[in-house]
Amino acid sequence: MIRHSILLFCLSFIIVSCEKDIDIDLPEYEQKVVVDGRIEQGLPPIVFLNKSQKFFGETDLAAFQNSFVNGAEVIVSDGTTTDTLVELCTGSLPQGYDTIVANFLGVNVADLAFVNICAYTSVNPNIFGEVGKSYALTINHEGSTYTSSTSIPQLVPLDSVWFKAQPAETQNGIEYGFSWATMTDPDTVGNGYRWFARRLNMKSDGSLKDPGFLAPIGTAFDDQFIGGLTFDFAYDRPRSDGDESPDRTAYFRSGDTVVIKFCTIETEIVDFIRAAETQALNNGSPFATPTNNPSNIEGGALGIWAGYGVTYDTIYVPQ
Amino acid sequence: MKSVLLCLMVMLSLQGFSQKTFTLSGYIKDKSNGEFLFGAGIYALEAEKGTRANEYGFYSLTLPAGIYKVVAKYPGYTSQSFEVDLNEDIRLNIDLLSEDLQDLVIKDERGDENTKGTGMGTVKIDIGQVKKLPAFMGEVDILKTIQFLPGVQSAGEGSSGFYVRGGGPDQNLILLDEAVVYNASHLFGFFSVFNADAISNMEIVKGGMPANYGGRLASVLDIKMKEGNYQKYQVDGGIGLISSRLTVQGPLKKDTSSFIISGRRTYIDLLMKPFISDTSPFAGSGYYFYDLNTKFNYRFSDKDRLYLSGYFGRDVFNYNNEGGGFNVRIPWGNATGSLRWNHLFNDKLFMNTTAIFSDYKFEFQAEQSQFEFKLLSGIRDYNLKTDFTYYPSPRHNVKFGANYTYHIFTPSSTSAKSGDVVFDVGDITKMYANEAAIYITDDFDLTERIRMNIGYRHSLFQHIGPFTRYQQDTINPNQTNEIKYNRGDVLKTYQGPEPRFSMRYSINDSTSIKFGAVHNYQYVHLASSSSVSLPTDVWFPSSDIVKPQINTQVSLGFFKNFKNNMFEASVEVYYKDMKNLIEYEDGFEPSDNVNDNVDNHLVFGVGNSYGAEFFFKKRLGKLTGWLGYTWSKTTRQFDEINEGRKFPAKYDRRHDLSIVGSYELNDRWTFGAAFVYATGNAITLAQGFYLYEGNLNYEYGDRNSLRMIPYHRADISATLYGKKTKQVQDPDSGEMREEKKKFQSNWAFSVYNLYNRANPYFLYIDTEGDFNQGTLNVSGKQVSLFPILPSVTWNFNF
Repeated sequence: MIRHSILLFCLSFIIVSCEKDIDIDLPEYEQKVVVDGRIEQGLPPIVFLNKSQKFFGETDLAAFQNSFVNGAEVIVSDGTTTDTLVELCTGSLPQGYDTIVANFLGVNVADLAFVNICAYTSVNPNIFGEVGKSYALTINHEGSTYTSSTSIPQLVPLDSVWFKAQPAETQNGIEYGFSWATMTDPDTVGNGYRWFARRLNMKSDGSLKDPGFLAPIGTAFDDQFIGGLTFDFAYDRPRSDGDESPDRTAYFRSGDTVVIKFCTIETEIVDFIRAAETQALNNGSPFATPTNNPSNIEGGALGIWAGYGVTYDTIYVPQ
Repeated sequence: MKSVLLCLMVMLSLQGFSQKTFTLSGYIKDKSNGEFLFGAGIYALEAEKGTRANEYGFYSLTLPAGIYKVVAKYPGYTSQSFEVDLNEDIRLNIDLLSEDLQDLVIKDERGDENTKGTGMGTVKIDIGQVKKLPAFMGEVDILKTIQFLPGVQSAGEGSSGFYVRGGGPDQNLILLDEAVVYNASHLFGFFSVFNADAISNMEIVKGGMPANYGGRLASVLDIKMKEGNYQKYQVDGGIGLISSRLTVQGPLKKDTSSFIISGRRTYIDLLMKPFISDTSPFAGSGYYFYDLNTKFNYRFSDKDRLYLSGYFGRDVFNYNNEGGGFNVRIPWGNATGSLRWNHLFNDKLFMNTTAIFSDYKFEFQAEQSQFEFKLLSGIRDYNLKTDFTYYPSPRHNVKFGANYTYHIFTPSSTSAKSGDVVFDVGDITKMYANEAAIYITDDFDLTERIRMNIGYRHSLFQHIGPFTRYQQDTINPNQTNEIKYNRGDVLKTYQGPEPRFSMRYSINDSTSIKFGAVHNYQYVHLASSSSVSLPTDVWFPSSDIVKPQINTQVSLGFFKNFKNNMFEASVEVYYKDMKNLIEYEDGFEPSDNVNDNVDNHLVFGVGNSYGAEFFFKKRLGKLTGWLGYTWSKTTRQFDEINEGRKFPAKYDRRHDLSIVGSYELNDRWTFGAAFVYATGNAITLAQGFYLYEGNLNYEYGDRNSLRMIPYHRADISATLYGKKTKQVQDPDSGEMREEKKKFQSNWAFSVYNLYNRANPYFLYIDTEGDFNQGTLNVSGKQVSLFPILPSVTWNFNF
């Protein structure tokens, strides 16, 4: 950050720099399949398949939607049950799936009809996620085969959760603060975690403040330095689109009901999420090291196939 | 190690059985100002033997008893001959008279040093030559001039940073009067810290680094400050577009003691002030740098001399935004000091002992409402070294010595407070280290045709306590695993043999072949996370987890002079292999230093570089200059970067061409021109993108797999000298005669980037709008820094 500001200040103040649009002669880009697949205990696997886009091509939403990979053969197996997933689109979801998909996408159920997104999932309860099981993923598409495997790690519930106000932030009797938790890392190595939060409160227009679970940046971590320890930690409130003005971003406030979704994940999923977050933060900055995200998909696809072991806790912030 | 020493002993003992010999020795200096002439030659004609004065002007020539005609020579100076009856040891100090008192002659190395010496990839550059070439914004810059040499690449547009033969910017040892300069640039790299008015000469060694230098892999840039005029007071100055300079020198006691003080300050901030009103939100913002060089000399006797020299420079950058209550102050700079004692034990043994202090500091202070944030990084060295030159016979020139440095590194430390509340962001993390080396080297004639330089250096480095190794907890900043070491604890010791070898084989008087091999270690490192060399890049030592960088280089060259040394030509090929190179780990952000050690975030790899350098130089005449061309290839391989595949280094540049010339039209006008062409920089750009959890993610191509467009640029300059003489009437005879004017001045005009080429500084892919709204717009942008930039400087001296 310091580096960036120095350079920007410097350039803007002293130097007669000039900037121009150029055609960068990029080599022929071969679109790749991007996998965003996950499986939680008690829920069906969901796999989104897209294609990465080349720069300087069509980059509007329509183009992105057109990049959805239809007609792929997506197979999930836990070793006993092997299930070929069905392709479902938001416009034609079976009973009960609208909530799952809306949560997954982080949109209000009512808005589902407006987004036309397709996913591969299953209605076979035998392939719904179970803690401790491994799930193999096979995708056959246009003559290519992509494979991966993930597992749902043993659950690690939080010891406790609470809200702690930042006294300096109190305004008009309303307290603002962060969500806190105590956790105990099991005495085994290779545990990964991810934290999500969601406010169940409504906005003044009656819609949900947080239509789905959101993860603040930096909430995926592994046990490299916390092996076997019990400790307290805190997270900001995740930013949500369309926050109402009195809801200061980064803070929870008096009256919020916050559901914490605390997940166990494999450490390679942690690595992927961290890398993806770093990329999002750098946003192509020429001063950041150009780094590709890792992937656990074999066969040349991008993205991740992730098992989540989920526990829920609720924080009630008093009015 | 042993075999090298043994070899040296045998060589030396070969001289033991010759007839009775005596030694002629002394100093060679400039008669007009008393400055020593480094590299001046002295030859005994009958014996066909000669030697060069060392960097302190001292020479020693041991010959069989007899009567000799001795000639002392230095280009640009009138040669002097003496008849010497050598039947005892003789001390002879020689004063040479400059042919041109303009102080603008092309002083140069001995005419045939190109073909006769053992040095490879060694170029000595005189400041007079530098001053005639086009100068960026009127600022004469020696670091920019060396970038015109083959094998030396510019780090980027307008940058005084340089890369030598595929090595990183931290692999150049930059010495100012023997003190290491850690950051040789001002203004984020656009100007060097060396004020040309205070410099007497400089030498760059990019190939076979002799054993008396060490600690860096790629090159040595040895810069010597002027000593000050021993004869009379002299004032030099210049007024330029962005800065002014003033140098005063003179004798404190004639022929015995002299001083020089030279200062320079930029005034962009002052020039900008009228344009920023006091009510402007930016009032109080500005940028300036200044530096000060001083040196004092005292000659106690012919045997003892003392020098005290110092450099102090600071860049200060202020940014005020009153409205936002936000201000930033970023001061940084170097300070060096050297106390040198030259002692002559006898006419064959010369000693130079130096105590050196070197300090580089970078500070970042930010304040927003109540909140204050400070970041500090730097390095401080206390260095003691002693070097001996021993002349057992004219065939041998032996150097040996020892060097010890105590390093204190502050890789990065922060402090923060809000009002009166001080935040605990960890202790100031310092790293302490000992660095030491001993060396011996002999430059000798094996036969009439073969001259060799064999050297051995042994270096040692210790990372010592106190030190706290942090193993940071990534989710809970209060949770850190610490390993504490106390003062006196040695965390890690590294040591290594550094053999050096070079030889010259003369095919004939003007043609030779040279071969060189060098193996060396580097114990201090600079990690940079961007392609631009910024003052925020931090120096840190080899430590318990960072190994020293190791280099092995071999080079082979063909050298030829034409037309009585008027033209010089050479072709050199080299191959180098580097180990334990460092890079930041992927995705590292330099602000991650709180409660952490910067070296926790490094990855290690190997590299190699090979290339061919062609150099053609016209040394004498009205038109002088050179043409240098380099073809090279430099790669890196890191297990953790680019999925372990080899990739082109940041400094990989296939073609690099420089043409430099100056032409003296007449007494009044001198013209200069330069042209450079270089393959575009290797860059990595995103080639595709995708969304994950609503965020844009990039898919990058292979590391450094793309190239910017080639860099090329032409600069020109013209210098108009005021009339150098005036007509005066001789009071006795009444005749009119020419007399040199006391006050001399010149106007130096320069045009940088003559044809206004938009050279890329960096490229980036710009994303605007929101993907989900369907308004995302992606475009490629090229940022260029300098358009055509004319400048003018007025220089004077009296």
